[in-house]
Amino acid sequence: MRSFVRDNSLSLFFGLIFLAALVGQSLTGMAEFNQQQLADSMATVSYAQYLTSSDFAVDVAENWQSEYLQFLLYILATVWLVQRGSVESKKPEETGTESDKDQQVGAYAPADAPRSAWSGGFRTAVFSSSLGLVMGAIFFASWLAQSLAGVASYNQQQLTQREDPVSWLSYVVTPEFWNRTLQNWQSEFLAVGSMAVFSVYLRQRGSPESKPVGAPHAATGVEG
Amino acid sequence: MARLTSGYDVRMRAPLAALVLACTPVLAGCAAAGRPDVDSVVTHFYDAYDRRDGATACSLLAPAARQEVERASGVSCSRGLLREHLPRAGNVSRTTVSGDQAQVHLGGDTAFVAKFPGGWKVVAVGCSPKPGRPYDCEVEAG
Repeated sequence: MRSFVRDNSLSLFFGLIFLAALVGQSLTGMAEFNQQQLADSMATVSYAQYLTSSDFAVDVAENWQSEYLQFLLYILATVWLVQRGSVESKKPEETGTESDKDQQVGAYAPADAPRSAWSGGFRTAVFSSSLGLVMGAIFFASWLAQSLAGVASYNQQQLTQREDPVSWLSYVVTPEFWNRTLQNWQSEFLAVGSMAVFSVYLRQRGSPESKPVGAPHAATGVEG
Repeated sequence: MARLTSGYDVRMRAPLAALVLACTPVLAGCAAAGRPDVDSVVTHFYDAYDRRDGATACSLLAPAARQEVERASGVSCSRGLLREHLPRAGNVSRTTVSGDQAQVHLGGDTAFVAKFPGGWKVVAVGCSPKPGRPYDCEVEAG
């Protein structure tokens, strides 16, 4: 048990703080929602009602989609694009999907490689892109969920203000939908871009996200 | 006066499956279940108003709408409401429910309804559309 916790401490840590943050978001979101309900002379909702509301769903989904988009783009962009001196980047001469030998695929797969790495054909092709495929699928599903929950939430607000509700197709071209989307995207793109640049000149001793403290600034793709 | 219920607008119901991902599986279910109740409260409201039964009609208004009628008229809701000149409503033609809010289009009027602990209540009636702006309503919560 102790060994399991130590071996998976990174995943467990983020899983726990994710749940804690989600609970915190739901509680504060309900408080804010109920404040607005009272201001509009409407009935307040219980915690269970808020958890299953479109308002909570859209707030969750809009952040999920942007996070998964951020990592999807980073996974795919770093195949082809480099940042000289960054620990997050490959060396400039290694851009592209690389050779089967470099990627330990097919005949070059080691004995303990996943079966999908040496079986070849469609299975290996899918496995070779499985990280991007799954991250991309979660991104699109979250974005779709954002739009569906968003139109329900938007329409609830429209009706509260005695205005006509809109269809899903009308909603996905509203400033509301794109503002929710782009305000998340810009912050994700800034964070990941700045991390790529910061890691050229800054160090975090002991972190694999940083070069070794003494590594030269020009060293690219060197983990600490 | 009996009114028919038809033409529910279901575009606002978010498909349940897509929201499983976001751990919020009940987005559509609650609202869909409320549509007959929404129509019923609006129909009963106009039935009572047409019968000049102000007490019953006021009991179907949301608290804030009731208070607004009393404030604007200076008399009880049941008397003040009957001073309002609401259009002849006609039959329900389309109902849209989104969460705890609903809009009911009738032959001659549009009503807004909201869900309260005691059930659905009318929050605005006698509403005329204003392009690009909120509906202008004869009776509504302040």
